[in-house]
Amino acid sequence: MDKYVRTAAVLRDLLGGTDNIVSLAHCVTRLRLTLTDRARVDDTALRDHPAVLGVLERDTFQIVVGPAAVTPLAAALAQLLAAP
Amino acid sequence: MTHEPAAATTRRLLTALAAPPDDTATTEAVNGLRATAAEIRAFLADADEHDTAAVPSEVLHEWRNALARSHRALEQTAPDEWSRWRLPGTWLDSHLRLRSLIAHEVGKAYWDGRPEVHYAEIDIERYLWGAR
Repeated sequence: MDKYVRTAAVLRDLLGGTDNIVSLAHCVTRLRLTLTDRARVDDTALRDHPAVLGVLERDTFQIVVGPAAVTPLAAALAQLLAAP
Repeated sequence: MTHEPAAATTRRLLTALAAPPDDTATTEAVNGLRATAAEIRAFLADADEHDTAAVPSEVLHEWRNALARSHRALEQTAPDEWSRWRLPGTWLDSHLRLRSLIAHEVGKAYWDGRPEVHYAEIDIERYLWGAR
């Protein structure tokens, strides 16, 4: 399995699963998500994941993954979220 | 074989960033940071003694997680102390830069599938000029 798809699948689960993710976007370094239920996020495991450089909570739930990874990772996560 | 000067310089700068917290800071979270910083400095001193070229990615990952947990604990349990020390030039400023640097190295190693990171390849200077 592609490393981005594999990582996206882990992050999806740590975020509470597909049905907990309402929207996904990204900027230069961060995945920006809207979640249904913030309490379903596994904070410790998410922050400890080696691909996660940081987590910020602003207008959206933001996961810092760096400029090199953000675009392919966001694409992989979007693909997973769209899968039936 | 020697890895001077780049590897040794990196180890020296990492050691400086892993500065012990100020003696007057004694909350539980700070004590956690004190222990982590001491562990990092000891590891680097040993690496320096043996002129080790690389650090295992897993070790960097453990340092990052330990620093991040203690930083969060300090911010949440002692916000006054967090604000007091979260200024440029303090030990906490050094720790925040160290955590950021390590996090980026751990991330790069993860995506590249590298089990270790060579000291000489850590671009440490950029973290001493602004990034945190």
